[in-house]
Amino acid sequence: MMNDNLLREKKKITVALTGQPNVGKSTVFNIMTGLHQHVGNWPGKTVERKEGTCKFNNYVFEIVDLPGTYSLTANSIEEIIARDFIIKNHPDVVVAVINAANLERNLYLVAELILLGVPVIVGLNMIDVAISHRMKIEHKVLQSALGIPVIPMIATKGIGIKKLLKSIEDIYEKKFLYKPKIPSIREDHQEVLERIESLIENETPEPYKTKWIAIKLLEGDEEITRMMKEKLDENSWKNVHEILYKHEDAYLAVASGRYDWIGRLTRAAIIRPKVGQVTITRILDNIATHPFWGFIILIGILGLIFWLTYSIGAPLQDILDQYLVQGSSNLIMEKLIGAPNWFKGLLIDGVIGGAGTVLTFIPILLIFFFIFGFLEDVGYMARAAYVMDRFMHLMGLHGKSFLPLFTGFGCNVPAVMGSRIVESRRARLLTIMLAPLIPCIARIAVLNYLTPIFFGKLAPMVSWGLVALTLIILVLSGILINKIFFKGERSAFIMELPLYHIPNFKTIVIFVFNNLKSFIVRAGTIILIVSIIVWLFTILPTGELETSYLAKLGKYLTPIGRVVGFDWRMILATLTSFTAKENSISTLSILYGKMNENGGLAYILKNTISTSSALSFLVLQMLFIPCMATVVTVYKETNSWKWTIFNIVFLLVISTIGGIATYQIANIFLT
Amino acid sequence: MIKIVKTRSLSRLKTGKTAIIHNLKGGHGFKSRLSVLGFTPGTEVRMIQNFGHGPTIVEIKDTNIALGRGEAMKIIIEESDNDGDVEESEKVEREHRWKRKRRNRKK
Repeated sequence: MMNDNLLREKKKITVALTGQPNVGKSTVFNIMTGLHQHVGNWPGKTVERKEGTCKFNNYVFEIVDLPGTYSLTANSIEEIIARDFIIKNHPDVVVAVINAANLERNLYLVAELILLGVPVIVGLNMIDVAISHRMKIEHKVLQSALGIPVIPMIATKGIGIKKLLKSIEDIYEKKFLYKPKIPSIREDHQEVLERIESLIENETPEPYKTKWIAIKLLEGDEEITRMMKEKLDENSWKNVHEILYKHEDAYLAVASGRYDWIGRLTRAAIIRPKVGQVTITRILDNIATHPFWGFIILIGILGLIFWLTYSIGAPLQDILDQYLVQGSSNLIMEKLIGAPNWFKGLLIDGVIGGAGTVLTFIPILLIFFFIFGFLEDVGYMARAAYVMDRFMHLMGLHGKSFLPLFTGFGCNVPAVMGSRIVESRRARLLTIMLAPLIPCIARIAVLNYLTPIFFGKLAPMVSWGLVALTLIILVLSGILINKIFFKGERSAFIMELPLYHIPNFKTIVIFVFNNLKSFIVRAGTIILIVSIIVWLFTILPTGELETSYLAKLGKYLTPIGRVVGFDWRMILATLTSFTAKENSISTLSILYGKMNENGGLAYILKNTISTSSALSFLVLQMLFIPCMATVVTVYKETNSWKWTIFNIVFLLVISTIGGIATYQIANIFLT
Repeated sequence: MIKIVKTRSLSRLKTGKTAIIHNLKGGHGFKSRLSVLGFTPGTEVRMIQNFGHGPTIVEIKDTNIALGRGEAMKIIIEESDNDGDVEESEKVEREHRWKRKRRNRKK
């Protein structure tokens, strides 16, 4: 048996997977690693880190999926993570995935990668897209021009993957004659580059290379400039700085040099169609990005998402509620008759009532994420961001912020996490601060439950009105926060519009799965724990809700309650929404249900609570602190106590003001 | 031989017309991001969508890139006779001139 293990021992090869956005890098990663992948974060950062393994011949490839970046500057944390991994961790091979329909621009990243000293393999992906746009790439020509392997692939169909794996093996075993053609700086700056190189030659720290440092200095790279300023003595740095200062535009010479290199290499390798050929993308975009029609289409699509989500998802949710939640509650009542009351209460009210109820939202989330993932994969989401940029602009946000904010309608947690796609830290923070104001499915469920009781036929109008009000407050808050904390800065709007392409089912499924998984994990952990804790506070010390600690807190807050039109029960219901928004309903039913045994909860509520109180309750709920799971996610994504607490305080303040205003104004009109 | 060229901003390029990039204005981070995407002197750029207000879409190095109007104003192109000019709405121009004055005053 031991001999077998020794024979089967495989060699490990570390592979770094890189690529610009929209090249199909994730598809390549997913095919190579299948289910053997692990998603986490880069240590200390809120950037996703994916790694996985792949067995091929006698090897185990350990693949690290580096963040997709256009280049390796110091302008964003993703780029720094990518280049640090290659320079400091020194993987055996770097695979650069490239979109064949975007060859020239994609090769810019390769131009940077080649300088790092780790062998690079070009994965020429999306050949089918290039062909459908009447482009032909001669990969063999490209390979001999570049001096590094170029592997044609169609990752969505699994074509070329084996060749890629074989190429990795060949590079590792030095079976490929690896002689890369290195890009140079534009002629007119060659001398300047050499001067800088000679000045820093002896001071380049391991594991960096002198030439790379020199080029980065000329590019004005902040991180490298800072590093060398510290490393060099005052005099040497003065000399270097003088040269850099005189050649402030050197970054253009570097970029031009790289594109010249690309141009020479690809001249013979790309066969293009006639200029101005009309493509499907162009035709669709004539409407999709039109300032007016594009907006109409977006509204239409959003409306469709909502309609589908609720018309299919809501009944499914009811079924789950019946069989899963009620069913297991009944089961417990039956089977555990002899068990102590507190134990039954813990299971039914704490566990099932809390976490269990949240899980019934899965059908709705499934549909929501599926449609969202579909639109993203087709390439439409970039157009949505383009159309919404005008509005996001008002708040100092980038059109891209619209996407995570929209997922907030499903659940605030992925909305907060989704803000990672926003590039500037300031805009990302602002997006995270505003995400909790988006009414999630749970909050809308509370709306849909209460509005018919108090407003009868007017219920849909009131519900939509409240959602619109929340969104208006969101925009105003955005403008306010941006002005006060960020000096009213604007995001530069530069965004690639990828070609539309046929969606890949597997990619969408993995997207839905990952999002759903984090939701369920959250429900299983944080929501569960908080449910139990809150439940404890509703039981201790007497075992009766009306005299529990939580009730005491509610009664203590009655003076505030009076201004917003709440009695202590409504205060309690608001407090328990901290576990999960829909808990306010269950709390209301527990507290009010005991008042009168005759008539359902709806009847009781209608007759105990005034309409203005009800309205104020709804407004306050919409603007209130989000559920615990969201708060925890805000902390994780901002990495800052300061911002998390600010978020909580801010929402407390505007919800209270909202409640007061609503109650007082409503009283004037409704009495 | 010094070549004298007439220049103007990309934001004025008419839909469907092509131009050559001459220069970039603005902060270092901004210019660096653009140069990485291919906006370097001598590169050809084609205007895909320009309504005189709001964001624009250009084609450069085989890709469609959306640019905000302010951003497009900072990309300088070489003027050629048959390009045709886009009337940027008075309001947009006024706004940007005012913003620039305010920024310069702060300095």
